[in-house]
Amino acid sequence: MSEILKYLTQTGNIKKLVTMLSMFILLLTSGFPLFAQQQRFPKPEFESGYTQPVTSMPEARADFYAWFDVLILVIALSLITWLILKKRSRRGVLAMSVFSILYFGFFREGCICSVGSLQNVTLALFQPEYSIPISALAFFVIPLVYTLFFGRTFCAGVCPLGAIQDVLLLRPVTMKTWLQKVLGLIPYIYLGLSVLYAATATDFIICRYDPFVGIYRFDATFFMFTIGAIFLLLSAFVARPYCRFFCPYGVLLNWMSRFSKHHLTITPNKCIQCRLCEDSCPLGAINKPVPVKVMEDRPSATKRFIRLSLIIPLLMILGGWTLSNFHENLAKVNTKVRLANELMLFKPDVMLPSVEIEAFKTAGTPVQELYSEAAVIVEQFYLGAWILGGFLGLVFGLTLSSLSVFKYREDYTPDKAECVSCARCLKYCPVER
Amino acid sequence: MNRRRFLHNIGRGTILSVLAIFSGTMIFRNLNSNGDSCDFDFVCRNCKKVKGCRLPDGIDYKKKNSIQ
Repeated sequence: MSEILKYLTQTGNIKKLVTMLSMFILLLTSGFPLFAQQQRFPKPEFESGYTQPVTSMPEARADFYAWFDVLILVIALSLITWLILKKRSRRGVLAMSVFSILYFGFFREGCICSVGSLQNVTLALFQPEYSIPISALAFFVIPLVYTLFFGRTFCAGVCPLGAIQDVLLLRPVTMKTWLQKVLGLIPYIYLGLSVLYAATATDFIICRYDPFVGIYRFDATFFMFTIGAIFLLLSAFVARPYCRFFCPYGVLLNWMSRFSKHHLTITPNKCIQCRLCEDSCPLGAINKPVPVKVMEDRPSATKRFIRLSLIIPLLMILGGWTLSNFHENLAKVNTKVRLANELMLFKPDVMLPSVEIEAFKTAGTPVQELYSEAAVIVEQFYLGAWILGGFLGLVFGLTLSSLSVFKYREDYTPDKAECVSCARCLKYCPVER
Repeated sequence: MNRRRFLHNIGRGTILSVLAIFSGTMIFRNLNSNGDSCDFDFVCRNCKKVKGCRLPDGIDYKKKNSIQ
Protein backbone atom coordinates (compact mmCIF):
# COMPACT_ATOMS: atom_id res chain seq x y z
CA MET A 1 0.00 0.00 0.00
CA SER A 2 2.89 2.32 0.74
CA GLU A 3 4.00 1.81 -2.85
CA ILE A 4 0.62 2.82 -4.12
CA LEU A 5 0.73 5.89 -1.89
CA LYS A 6 4.23 6.69 -3.14
CA TYR A 7 3.10 6.26 -6.74
CA LEU A 8 0.16 8.52 -6.17
CA THR A 9 2.17 11.22 -4.49
CA GLN A 10 4.97 11.05 -7.04
CA THR A 11 2.88 11.12 -10.19
CA GLY A 12 -0.24 12.78 -8.92
CA ASN A 13 -2.06 11.20 -11.81
CA ILE A 14 -5.16 9.81 -10.16
CA LYS A 15 -7.23 9.70 -13.34
CA LYS A 16 -4.68 7.44 -14.95
CA LEU A 17 -4.77 5.06 -11.99
CA VAL A 18 -8.55 5.04 -11.92
CA THR A 19 -8.70 4.30 -15.65
CA MET A 20 -6.17 1.51 -15.26
CA LEU A 21 -8.06 0.02 -12.34
CA SER A 22 -11.34 0.24 -14.23
CA MET A 23 -9.80 -1.50 -17.22
CA PHE A 24 -8.35 -4.16 -14.91
CA ILE A 25 -11.68 -4.85 -13.26
CA LEU A 26 -13.53 -4.90 -16.58
CA LEU A 27 -10.89 -7.23 -18.01
CA LEU A 28 -11.10 -9.43 -14.94
CA THR A 29 -14.84 -9.69 -15.13
CA SER A 30 -15.08 -10.07 -18.88
CA GLY A 31 -14.76 -13.84 -18.64
CA PHE A 32 -17.79 -14.15 -16.41
CA PRO A 33 -20.42 -14.83 -19.02
CA LEU A 34 -18.49 -18.02 -19.81
CA PHE A 35 -18.71 -19.18 -16.20
CA ALA A 36 -22.34 -18.20 -16.08
CA GLN A 37 -23.15 -20.09 -19.26
CA GLN A 38 -21.59 -23.20 -17.77
CA GLN A 39 -23.60 -22.87 -14.60
CA ARG A 40 -26.88 -22.74 -16.44
CA PHE A 41 -26.63 -26.46 -17.09
CA PRO A 42 -26.25 -28.80 -14.09
CA LYS A 43 -23.14 -30.90 -13.92
CA PRO A 44 -23.66 -34.65 -14.55
CA GLU A 45 -23.61 -36.77 -11.42
CA PHE A 46 -21.64 -40.02 -11.55
CA GLU A 47 -22.06 -42.46 -8.66
CA SER A 48 -18.83 -44.29 -7.95
CA GLY A 49 -19.57 -45.30 -4.36
CA TYR A 50 -16.50 -43.50 -3.18
CA THR A 51 -16.97 -41.05 -0.36
CA GLN A 52 -14.35 -38.49 0.41
CA PRO A 53 -13.18 -38.33 4.01
CA VAL A 54 -14.34 -35.25 5.88
CA THR A 55 -11.46 -32.83 6.20
CA SER A 56 -10.98 -31.73 9.76
CA MET A 57 -10.14 -28.09 10.17
CA PRO A 58 -8.99 -26.42 13.36
CA GLU A 59 -11.76 -24.12 14.48
CA ALA A 60 -9.40 -21.81 16.33
CA ARG A 61 -7.87 -20.83 13.03
CA ALA A 62 -11.22 -19.66 11.73
CA ASP A 63 -11.70 -17.64 14.92
CA PHE A 64 -8.29 -16.12 14.48
CA TYR A 65 -9.13 -14.99 10.95
CA ALA A 66 -12.43 -13.56 12.13
CA TRP A 67 -10.66 -11.49 14.77
CA PHE A 68 -7.93 -10.54 12.34
CA ASP A 69 -10.60 -9.14 10.00
CA VAL A 70 -12.02 -7.09 12.87
CA LEU A 71 -8.55 -5.76 13.61
CA ILE A 72 -8.03 -4.83 9.96
CA LEU A 73 -11.42 -3.11 9.96
CA VAL A 74 -10.51 -0.99 12.99
CA ILE A 75 -7.10 -0.09 11.52
CA ALA A 76 -8.62 0.77 8.13
CA LEU A 77 -11.33 2.89 9.73
CA SER A 78 -8.85 4.75 11.93
CA LEU A 79 -6.48 5.34 9.02
CA ILE A 80 -9.13 6.60 6.62
CA THR A 81 -10.64 8.83 9.32
CA TRP A 82 -7.20 10.37 9.88
CA LEU A 83 -6.69 10.74 6.11
CA ILE A 84 -10.03 12.50 5.70
CA LEU A 85 -10.28 14.69 8.79
CA LYS A 86 -6.64 15.51 9.53
CA LYS A 87 -4.67 14.92 6.37
CA ARG A 88 -7.60 15.96 4.10
CA SER A 89 -6.23 13.75 1.35
CA ARG A 90 -8.32 12.47 -1.55
CA ARG A 91 -5.37 10.40 -2.70
CA GLY A 92 -5.24 8.68 0.66
CA VAL A 93 -8.94 7.84 0.40
CA LEU A 94 -8.35 6.43 -3.07
CA ALA A 95 -5.46 4.30 -1.83
CA MET A 96 -7.63 2.98 1.02
CA SER A 97 -10.38 2.18 -1.47
CA VAL A 98 -7.96 0.11 -3.55
CA PHE A 99 -6.82 -1.69 -0.39
CA SER A 100 -10.43 -2.45 0.64
CA ILE A 101 -11.28 -3.78 -2.81
CA LEU A 102 -8.26 -6.07 -2.67
CA TYR A 103 -8.54 -7.19 0.96
CA PHE A 104 -12.22 -7.11 1.97
CA GLY A 105 -13.29 -7.65 -1.62
CA PHE A 106 -11.15 -10.12 -3.52
CA PHE A 107 -9.15 -11.67 -0.65
CA ARG A 108 -11.94 -12.00 1.92
CA GLU A 109 -14.46 -12.51 -0.88
CA GLY A 110 -16.81 -9.84 0.39
CA CYS A 111 -17.67 -11.76 3.55
CA ILE A 112 -18.12 -10.86 6.23
CA CYS A 113 -19.29 -7.34 5.45
CA SER A 114 -21.05 -4.75 7.53
CA VAL A 115 -23.94 -4.50 5.08
CA GLY A 116 -24.78 -8.19 5.43
CA SER A 117 -24.13 -8.27 9.18
CA LEU A 118 -27.29 -6.23 9.58
CA GLN A 119 -29.23 -9.44 8.95
CA ASN A 120 -27.22 -11.45 11.48
CA VAL A 121 -28.00 -8.79 14.07
CA THR A 122 -31.72 -8.82 13.19
CA LEU A 123 -31.83 -12.61 13.36
CA ALA A 124 -30.12 -12.56 16.76
CA LEU A 125 -32.58 -9.94 18.00
CA PHE A 126 -35.71 -11.82 16.98
CA GLN A 127 -34.56 -15.44 17.32
CA PRO A 128 -32.93 -15.85 20.76
CA GLU A 129 -31.68 -19.34 19.92
CA TYR A 130 -29.39 -17.89 17.24
CA SER A 131 -25.94 -16.95 18.52
CA ILE A 132 -24.49 -14.19 16.43
CA PRO A 133 -20.74 -14.55 15.74
CA ILE A 134 -18.84 -11.84 17.62
CA SER A 135 -17.06 -10.82 14.41
CA ALA A 136 -20.42 -10.22 12.70
CA LEU A 137 -21.50 -8.13 15.66
CA ALA A 138 -18.23 -6.16 15.51
CA PHE A 139 -18.60 -5.54 11.77
CA PHE A 140 -22.07 -4.18 12.43
CA VAL A 141 -21.32 -2.00 15.45
CA ILE A 142 -17.82 -0.58 14.80
CA PRO A 143 -18.63 1.38 11.60
CA LEU A 144 -21.74 2.79 13.29
CA VAL A 145 -19.68 4.03 16.24
CA TYR A 146 -17.07 5.57 13.94
CA THR A 147 -19.84 7.28 11.97
CA LEU A 148 -21.32 8.68 15.17
CA PHE A 149 -18.05 10.47 15.81
CA PHE A 150 -16.49 11.12 12.39
CA GLY A 151 -19.19 10.84 9.71
CA ARG A 152 -19.42 8.18 7.02
CA THR A 153 -15.72 7.49 6.71
CA PHE A 154 -16.58 3.78 6.44
CA CYS A 155 -18.43 4.47 3.17
CA ALA A 156 -15.54 6.60 1.88
CA GLY A 157 -13.14 3.74 1.28
CA VAL A 158 -13.44 0.87 3.76
CA CYS A 159 -16.64 -0.72 2.49
CA PRO A 160 -15.61 -2.87 -0.48
CA LEU A 161 -19.01 -2.42 -2.11
CA GLY A 162 -18.74 1.36 -2.02
CA ALA A 163 -15.04 1.42 -2.91
CA ILE A 164 -15.44 -0.55 -6.15
CA GLN A 165 -18.10 1.90 -7.34
CA ASP A 166 -16.10 4.91 -6.23
CA VAL A 167 -12.93 4.04 -8.13
CA LEU A 168 -14.92 3.42 -11.30
CA LEU A 169 -16.55 6.86 -11.31
CA LEU A 170 -15.19 8.63 -14.39
CA ARG A 171 -17.73 11.12 -15.69
CA PRO A 172 -20.38 11.82 -13.05
CA VAL A 173 -23.68 13.18 -14.27
CA THR A 174 -25.78 15.49 -12.12
CA MET A 175 -29.10 14.00 -11.12
CA LYS A 176 -32.22 16.03 -10.48
CA THR A 177 -32.91 16.53 -6.78
CA TRP A 178 -36.45 15.13 -7.02
CA LEU A 179 -35.13 11.98 -8.71
CA GLN A 180 -32.50 11.54 -6.00
CA LYS A 181 -35.16 11.96 -3.32
CA VAL A 182 -37.46 9.41 -4.95
CA LEU A 183 -34.72 6.84 -5.59
CA GLY A 184 -33.38 7.54 -2.09
CA LEU A 185 -36.51 5.89 -0.68
CA ILE A 186 -35.56 2.49 -2.12
CA PRO A 187 -32.94 1.72 0.59
CA TYR A 188 -35.64 2.14 3.25
CA ILE A 189 -37.83 -0.40 1.48
CA TYR A 190 -34.85 -2.74 1.06
CA LEU A 191 -33.90 -2.28 4.72
CA GLY A 192 -37.45 -3.03 5.83
CA LEU A 193 -37.70 -6.14 3.68
CA SER A 194 -34.28 -7.47 4.72
CA VAL A 195 -35.17 -6.97 8.39
CA LEU A 196 -38.55 -8.66 7.87
CA TYR A 197 -37.02 -11.69 6.15
CA ALA A 198 -34.16 -11.99 8.65
CA ALA A 199 -36.46 -11.53 11.66
CA THR A 200 -38.74 -14.32 10.46
CA ALA A 201 -35.69 -16.53 9.81
CA THR A 202 -36.67 -16.71 6.15
CA ASP A 203 -33.66 -15.58 4.19
CA PHE A 204 -30.74 -13.16 4.03
CA ILE A 205 -31.83 -11.23 0.97
CA ILE A 206 -29.00 -8.67 1.12
CA CYS A 207 -26.43 -11.43 0.66
CA ARG A 208 -28.52 -13.27 -1.90
CA TYR A 209 -28.93 -10.19 -4.10
CA ASP A 210 -25.57 -8.55 -3.44
CA PRO A 211 -24.42 -7.44 -6.91
CA PHE A 212 -20.69 -7.35 -6.13
CA VAL A 213 -20.05 -10.40 -3.95
CA GLY A 214 -20.38 -12.76 -6.91
CA ILE A 215 -17.78 -10.72 -8.78
CA TYR A 216 -15.42 -10.71 -5.79
CA ARG A 217 -15.79 -14.48 -5.49
CA PHE A 218 -15.61 -15.20 -9.22
CA ASP A 219 -18.69 -17.39 -8.92
CA ALA A 220 -21.59 -15.14 -9.86
CA THR A 221 -24.59 -16.70 -11.52
CA PHE A 222 -25.49 -15.28 -14.91
CA PHE A 223 -28.30 -13.22 -13.41
CA MET A 224 -26.20 -11.78 -10.57
CA PHE A 225 -23.27 -11.13 -12.87
CA THR A 226 -25.55 -9.11 -15.15
CA ILE A 227 -26.85 -7.09 -12.19
CA GLY A 228 -23.29 -6.53 -10.92
CA ALA A 229 -22.05 -5.51 -14.38
CA ILE A 230 -24.93 -3.05 -14.76
CA PHE A 231 -24.08 -1.49 -11.40
CA LEU A 232 -20.39 -1.24 -12.31
CA LEU A 233 -21.10 0.32 -15.69
CA LEU A 234 -23.57 2.70 -14.08
CA SER A 235 -20.91 3.62 -11.50
CA ALA A 236 -18.85 5.27 -14.24
CA PHE A 237 -21.54 7.93 -14.70
CA VAL A 238 -23.73 7.86 -11.60
CA ALA A 239 -21.81 8.11 -8.35
CA ARG A 240 -22.24 5.03 -6.17
CA PRO A 241 -25.63 3.86 -7.43
CA TYR A 242 -25.81 0.90 -5.02
CA CYS A 243 -24.78 2.94 -1.97
CA ARG A 244 -27.24 5.73 -2.64
CA PHE A 245 -30.24 3.90 -3.98
CA PHE A 246 -30.07 0.41 -2.50
CA CYS A 247 -27.71 -0.03 0.46
CA PRO A 248 -29.78 -0.77 3.60
CA TYR A 249 -26.79 -0.35 5.92
CA GLY A 250 -26.32 3.10 4.36
CA VAL A 251 -29.67 4.07 5.88
CA LEU A 252 -28.31 3.37 9.36
CA LEU A 253 -25.06 5.20 8.60
CA ASN A 254 -27.10 8.11 7.26
CA TRP A 255 -28.95 8.33 10.60
CA MET A 256 -25.74 8.02 12.63
CA SER A 257 -23.90 10.61 10.56
CA ARG A 258 -26.51 13.26 11.37
CA PHE A 259 -25.26 13.10 14.97
CA SER A 260 -21.57 12.97 14.09
CA LYS A 261 -19.31 14.99 16.36
CA HIS A 262 -16.56 15.71 13.81
CA HIS A 263 -17.33 15.69 10.12
CA LEU A 264 -15.41 16.50 6.98
CA THR A 265 -15.57 20.21 6.11
CA ILE A 266 -15.14 21.49 2.57
CA THR A 267 -12.84 24.30 3.60
CA PRO A 268 -10.24 24.01 6.33
CA ASN A 269 -10.82 27.63 7.30
CA LYS A 270 -13.40 30.34 6.74
CA CYS A 271 -15.45 29.86 3.55
CA ILE A 272 -14.79 32.67 1.07
CA GLN A 273 -17.97 31.99 -0.94
CA CYS A 274 -16.05 31.45 -4.17
CA ARG A 275 -18.64 28.86 -5.29
CA LEU A 276 -15.95 26.65 -6.80
CA CYS A 277 -17.06 23.62 -4.81
CA GLU A 278 -20.74 24.13 -5.63
CA ASP A 279 -20.97 21.34 -8.21
CA SER A 280 -17.95 19.34 -7.11
CA CYS A 281 -19.85 16.61 -5.29
CA PRO A 282 -20.91 13.76 -7.59
CA LEU A 283 -23.45 12.72 -4.95
CA GLY A 284 -24.99 16.18 -4.74
CA ALA A 285 -24.30 16.19 -1.02
CA ILE A 286 -23.26 19.83 -0.63
CA ASN A 287 -25.67 22.19 1.08
CA LYS A 288 -25.69 25.57 -0.60
CA PRO A 289 -26.04 28.77 1.36
CA VAL A 290 -29.61 30.00 1.80
CA PRO A 291 -29.82 33.80 1.52
CA VAL A 292 -32.00 35.61 4.02
CA LYS A 293 -34.29 37.03 1.31
CA VAL A 294 -35.23 33.45 0.27
CA MET A 295 -36.20 32.53 3.81
CA GLU A 296 -39.87 32.77 4.54
CA ASP A 297 -41.23 33.93 7.86
CA ARG A 298 -41.01 31.40 10.66
CA PRO A 299 -44.74 31.10 11.60
CA SER A 300 -45.89 30.20 8.09
CA ALA A 301 -43.05 27.69 7.68
CA THR A 302 -43.92 26.09 11.02
CA LYS A 303 -47.62 25.91 10.10
CA ARG A 304 -46.83 24.16 6.81
CA PHE A 305 -44.50 21.72 8.57
CA ILE A 306 -47.16 20.86 11.15
CA ARG A 307 -49.81 20.41 8.43
CA LEU A 308 -47.52 18.06 6.52
CA SER A 309 -46.58 16.20 9.69
CA LEU A 310 -50.23 15.49 10.38
CA ILE A 311 -50.29 13.36 7.23
CA ILE A 312 -47.62 11.05 8.69
CA PRO A 313 -49.94 8.94 10.92
CA LEU A 314 -52.32 8.60 7.99
CA LEU A 315 -49.51 7.42 5.72
CA MET A 316 -48.34 4.96 8.39
CA ILE A 317 -51.79 3.39 8.72
CA LEU A 318 -52.24 3.33 4.95
CA GLY A 319 -48.80 1.74 4.48
CA GLY A 320 -49.41 -0.86 7.20
CA TRP A 321 -52.85 -1.77 5.85
CA THR A 322 -51.62 -2.01 2.26
CA LEU A 323 -48.65 -4.24 3.05
CA SER A 324 -50.62 -6.41 5.47
CA ASN A 325 -52.87 -7.31 2.53
CA PHE A 326 -49.81 -8.73 0.80
CA HIS A 327 -48.41 -10.60 3.80
CA GLU A 328 -49.18 -14.01 2.31
CA ASN A 329 -47.27 -13.11 -0.84
CA LEU A 330 -44.35 -11.87 1.23
CA ALA A 331 -44.42 -15.08 3.29
CA LYS A 332 -44.13 -17.26 0.18
CA VAL A 333 -40.38 -16.64 0.18
CA ASN A 334 -40.17 -18.76 3.33
CA THR A 335 -39.35 -22.36 2.41
CA LYS A 336 -41.75 -23.86 4.97
CA VAL A 337 -44.63 -21.72 3.79
CA ARG A 338 -43.83 -22.48 0.18
CA LEU A 339 -43.67 -26.21 0.87
CA ALA A 340 -46.94 -26.11 2.81
CA ASN A 341 -48.58 -24.31 -0.12
CA GLU A 342 -47.18 -26.84 -2.56
CA LEU A 343 -48.46 -29.74 -0.46
CA MET A 344 -51.91 -28.20 -0.18
CA LEU A 345 -52.15 -27.82 -3.94
CA PHE A 346 -50.56 -31.19 -4.68
CA LYS A 347 -52.82 -33.81 -6.28
CA PRO A 348 -50.98 -37.16 -6.30
CA ASP A 349 -53.23 -38.73 -8.94
CA VAL A 350 -52.59 -36.09 -11.59
CA MET A 351 -49.32 -34.46 -10.57
CA LEU A 352 -45.74 -35.59 -10.15
CA PRO A 353 -44.23 -34.71 -6.76
CA SER A 354 -41.51 -32.07 -6.75
CA VAL A 355 -38.08 -32.76 -5.22
CA GLU A 356 -39.10 -30.76 -2.13
CA ILE A 357 -42.28 -32.79 -1.62
CA GLU A 358 -40.37 -36.05 -2.05
CA ALA A 359 -37.73 -34.94 0.46
CA PHE A 360 -40.42 -33.92 2.94
CA LYS A 361 -42.18 -37.24 2.66
CA THR A 362 -38.91 -39.12 3.10
CA ALA A 363 -38.19 -37.18 6.31
CA GLY A 364 -41.42 -38.53 7.80
CA THR A 365 -42.54 -35.27 9.41
CA PRO A 366 -46.34 -35.09 9.85
CA VAL A 367 -47.99 -32.75 7.37
CA GLN A 368 -50.05 -31.12 10.14
CA GLU A 369 -46.84 -30.14 11.91
CA LEU A 370 -45.62 -28.39 8.77
CA TYR A 371 -48.96 -26.65 8.31
CA SER A 372 -49.01 -25.34 11.87
CA GLU A 373 -45.40 -24.12 11.56
CA ALA A 374 -46.26 -22.41 8.28
CA ALA A 375 -49.34 -20.81 9.86
CA VAL A 376 -47.19 -19.35 12.67
CA ILE A 377 -44.75 -17.92 10.10
CA VAL A 378 -47.59 -16.38 8.06
CA GLU A 379 -48.90 -14.78 11.28
CA GLN A 380 -45.44 -13.34 11.90
CA PHE A 381 -45.47 -11.93 8.39
CA TYR A 382 -48.87 -10.34 9.00
CA LEU A 383 -47.51 -8.46 12.02
CA GLY A 384 -44.22 -7.74 10.25
CA ALA A 385 -46.03 -6.38 7.17
CA TRP A 386 -48.00 -3.96 9.36
CA ILE A 387 -44.80 -2.75 11.04
CA LEU A 388 -42.96 -2.52 7.71
CA GLY A 389 -45.82 -0.61 6.10
CA GLY A 390 -46.00 1.74 9.08
CA PHE A 391 -42.26 2.32 8.89
CA LEU A 392 -42.41 3.08 5.17
CA GLY A 393 -45.34 5.45 5.75
CA LEU A 394 -43.27 7.23 8.39
CA VAL A 395 -40.31 7.51 6.01
CA PHE A 396 -42.45 8.86 3.16
CA GLY A 397 -44.12 11.32 5.50
CA LEU A 398 -40.88 12.58 7.00
CA THR A 399 -39.32 12.91 3.53
CA LEU A 400 -42.31 14.96 2.42
CA SER A 401 -42.13 17.16 5.51
CA SER A 402 -38.40 17.65 5.24
CA LEU A 403 -38.74 18.89 1.66
CA SER A 404 -40.52 21.96 2.99
CA VAL A 405 -37.90 22.80 5.62
CA PHE A 406 -35.29 25.37 4.68
CA LYS A 407 -32.40 25.88 7.03
CA TYR A 408 -30.58 29.18 6.98
CA ARG A 409 -26.96 28.65 5.94
CA GLU A 410 -24.17 31.07 5.28
CA ASP A 411 -21.54 28.68 3.91
CA TYR A 412 -21.19 25.69 1.66
CA THR A 413 -21.32 22.67 3.95
CA PRO A 414 -21.44 18.92 3.35
CA ASP A 415 -24.81 17.30 3.92
CA LYS A 416 -23.85 15.21 6.95
CA ALA A 417 -26.38 12.50 6.19
CA GLU A 418 -25.68 12.03 2.48
CA CYS A 419 -21.96 12.87 2.37
CA VAL A 420 -19.80 9.75 2.18
CA SER A 421 -16.62 11.71 2.96
CA CYS A 422 -15.01 10.79 -0.36
CA ALA A 423 -13.02 14.06 -0.10
CA ARG A 424 -13.49 15.01 -3.78
CA CYS A 425 -14.69 18.49 -2.86
CA LEU A 426 -11.50 19.34 -0.98
CA LYS A 427 -9.37 19.98 -4.05
CA TYR A 428 -11.88 22.55 -5.33
CA CYS A 429 -11.39 24.81 -2.31
CA PRO A 430 -8.78 27.54 -2.91
CA VAL A 431 -8.42 28.00 0.84
CA GLU A 432 -7.15 24.42 0.97
CA ARG A 433 -4.08 25.39 -1.07
CA MET B 1 -23.12 25.13 23.48
CA ASN B 2 -26.14 25.92 21.33
CA ARG B 3 -29.43 24.04 21.34
CA ARG B 4 -28.68 22.03 18.19
CA ARG B 5 -25.35 20.81 19.52
CA PHE B 6 -26.93 19.95 22.87
CA LEU B 7 -29.61 17.83 21.15
CA HIS B 8 -26.97 16.16 18.99
CA ASN B 9 -24.97 15.25 22.07
CA ILE B 10 -28.04 13.72 23.70
CA GLY B 11 -28.84 11.80 20.50
CA ARG B 12 -25.28 10.54 20.19
CA GLY B 13 -25.18 9.48 23.81
CA THR B 14 -28.47 7.63 23.50
CA ILE B 15 -27.40 5.78 20.35
CA LEU B 16 -24.08 4.84 21.91
CA SER B 17 -25.82 3.53 25.01
CA VAL B 18 -28.22 1.46 22.93
CA LEU B 19 -25.35 0.03 20.89
CA ALA B 20 -23.35 -0.74 24.04
CA ILE B 21 -26.28 -2.47 25.76
CA PHE B 22 -27.15 -4.42 22.63
CA SER B 23 -23.55 -5.52 22.02
CA GLY B 24 -23.13 -6.46 25.70
CA THR B 25 -26.29 -8.55 25.63
CA MET B 26 -25.25 -10.35 22.46
CA ILE B 27 -21.74 -11.07 23.76
CA PHE B 28 -23.14 -12.28 27.08
CA ARG B 29 -25.59 -14.56 25.29
CA ASN B 30 -22.84 -15.87 23.06
CA LEU B 31 -20.51 -16.62 25.95
CA ASN B 32 -23.25 -18.36 27.90
CA SER B 33 -24.56 -20.44 25.02
CA ASN B 34 -23.96 -24.17 25.40
CA GLY B 35 -22.02 -24.40 22.17
CA ASP B 36 -24.84 -25.77 20.07
CA SER B 37 -24.81 -24.46 16.56
CA CYS B 38 -27.81 -22.72 15.10
CA ASP B 39 -30.64 -24.38 13.18
CA PHE B 40 -30.89 -21.64 10.64
CA ASP B 41 -29.88 -23.68 7.68
CA PHE B 42 -30.75 -20.97 5.23
CA VAL B 43 -27.68 -19.03 6.28
CA CYS B 44 -25.53 -21.84 4.89
CA ARG B 45 -27.93 -23.27 2.35
CA ASN B 46 -27.49 -20.67 -0.34
CA CYS B 47 -23.82 -20.10 0.35
CA LYS B 48 -21.59 -21.22 -2.47
CA LYS B 49 -18.59 -21.39 -0.18
CA VAL B 50 -20.21 -23.84 2.21
CA LYS B 51 -18.16 -26.81 0.94
CA GLY B 52 -14.97 -25.17 2.09
CA CYS B 53 -16.47 -23.46 5.14
CA ARG B 54 -14.57 -23.94 8.38
CA LEU B 55 -16.99 -22.15 10.68
CA PRO B 56 -18.71 -24.37 13.29
CA ASP B 57 -22.16 -23.67 11.86
CA GLY B 58 -20.95 -24.52 8.38
CA ILE B 59 -19.36 -27.79 9.54
CA ASP B 60 -22.54 -28.74 11.38
CA TYR B 61 -24.63 -27.92 8.34
CA LYS B 62 -22.42 -30.10 6.16
CA LYS B 63 -22.72 -32.99 8.61
CA LYS B 64 -26.50 -32.70 8.74
CA ASN B 65 -26.79 -32.60 4.98
CA SER B 66 -24.03 -35.08 4.21
CA ILE B 67 -22.08 -32.57 2.18
CA GLN B 68 -18.52 -33.63 1.64
